[in-house]
Amino acid sequence: MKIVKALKAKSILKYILPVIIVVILFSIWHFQRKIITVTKTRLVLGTVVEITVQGKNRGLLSDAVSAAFLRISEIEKIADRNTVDSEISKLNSLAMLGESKKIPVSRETLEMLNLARGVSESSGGAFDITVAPLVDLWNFKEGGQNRRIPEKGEIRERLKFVDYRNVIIDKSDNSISSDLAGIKLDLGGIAKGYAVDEAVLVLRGFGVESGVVNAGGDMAIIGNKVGGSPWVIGVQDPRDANKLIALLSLEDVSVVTSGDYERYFIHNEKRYHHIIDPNTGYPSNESISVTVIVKNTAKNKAKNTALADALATAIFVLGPEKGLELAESIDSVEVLIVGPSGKTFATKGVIDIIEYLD
Amino acid sequence: MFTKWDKILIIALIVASAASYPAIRHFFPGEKYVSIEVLGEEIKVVRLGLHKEISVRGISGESIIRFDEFGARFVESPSSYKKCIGAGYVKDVGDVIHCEENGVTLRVIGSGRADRAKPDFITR
Repeated sequence: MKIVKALKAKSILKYILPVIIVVILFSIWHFQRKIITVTKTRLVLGTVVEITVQGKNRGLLSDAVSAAFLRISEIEKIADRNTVDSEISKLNSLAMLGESKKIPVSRETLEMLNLARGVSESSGGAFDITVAPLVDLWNFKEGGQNRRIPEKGEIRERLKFVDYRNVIIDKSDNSISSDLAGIKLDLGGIAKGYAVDEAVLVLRGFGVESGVVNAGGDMAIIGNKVGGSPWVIGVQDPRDANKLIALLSLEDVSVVTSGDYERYFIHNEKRYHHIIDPNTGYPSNESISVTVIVKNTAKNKAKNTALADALATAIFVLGPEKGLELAESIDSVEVLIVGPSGKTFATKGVIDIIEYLD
Repeated sequence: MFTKWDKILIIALIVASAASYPAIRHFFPGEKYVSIEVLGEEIKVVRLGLHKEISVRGISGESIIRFDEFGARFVESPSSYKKCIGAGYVKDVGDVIHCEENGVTLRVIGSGRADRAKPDFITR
């Protein structure tokens, strides 16, 4: 009897055992490929910065993210003109005093100034780091009742100090100078992107091959998601914060959006927002939102978020027609523009990465 | 009484059941999400079942939330009594853990919110 039972059990095992082995092997495979995602958020650069990285070593990922945040804080200390002892504040103080001699600057400031100069020149001044006197006049940082529309005379007066060509950059000795007293630099339109790029360099230095650095919507995407699928980035509907207008499937790119809905007020049914046209001194009404995508290539991997940051402002000011022209003239740049009437415009390459939502 | 082969069979089935859990999770991932709130404001929605660690800055410091196959839980918190760490996992729709001192809340929400969580990030 016992022998019969043993034979029955053996024959059952004969069929079950392979299944068990397969299941166990699958489990081992599943746990071996287990991907860890580490996300940390900090309030820096005047916005919520979120860094997400994927990999297999939790400790390494965590250290990489902490180091990246340190680097972002370093850039903030250099480039934030609202911080009293930042490099850019010191430069502005000297410029206000009419100091025309050469002022040595850090490698980081020089890089930002050079990049900004390039975008200023290619956009005919639609992006300009000397726009600070106008930004201060409009004062979109102040809330509520302090908001007012400046007088035409005030704007005219401030426009005298706005021209990127008044900043003389000397790459030979890492210095800048200006003959114009009262000039004031604002790297706000490029520093956030630059800080994101520097954070990415730190993460790559730790061997991170998949992740996203997101500084309030200005983001750099490292590789694709572990497993091979692209990162899906939603583009906010500029007139409804709870909706998206499109989904972008992206890998190894920088993406930045500028819109008239971030800081604004309405007066007599007209929207006044923080993106000032350096040529007129008034908020630009040429666009509602602009999303710039800069693809990383072997040639241009270094400062693409900074470039996207500056281009987003420049294209916003230029509007759909000239903005598309500018974007098409630069390698690896794609753009999605929501024009003043709400109609969307995009460069040819966008079709491959976009899914429009109703 | 059980024979030797019965015992082997029972143990094999138990091992197979335990080992098949990851397979089930792999092929039938849950459609549940965890809403992370700071002072009542939702700052992030994360799908349950992923292996993630998220750090959130609350009113008195940093809370670290770990996500794994069992759910989501606080693993670090600046609060004095660490009650939210002791509270263990949230995993079913409606489960909530609130770190009062740090103002951070974890709330499991159902698949009705899946569309909002579809993109990995939003550019604005």
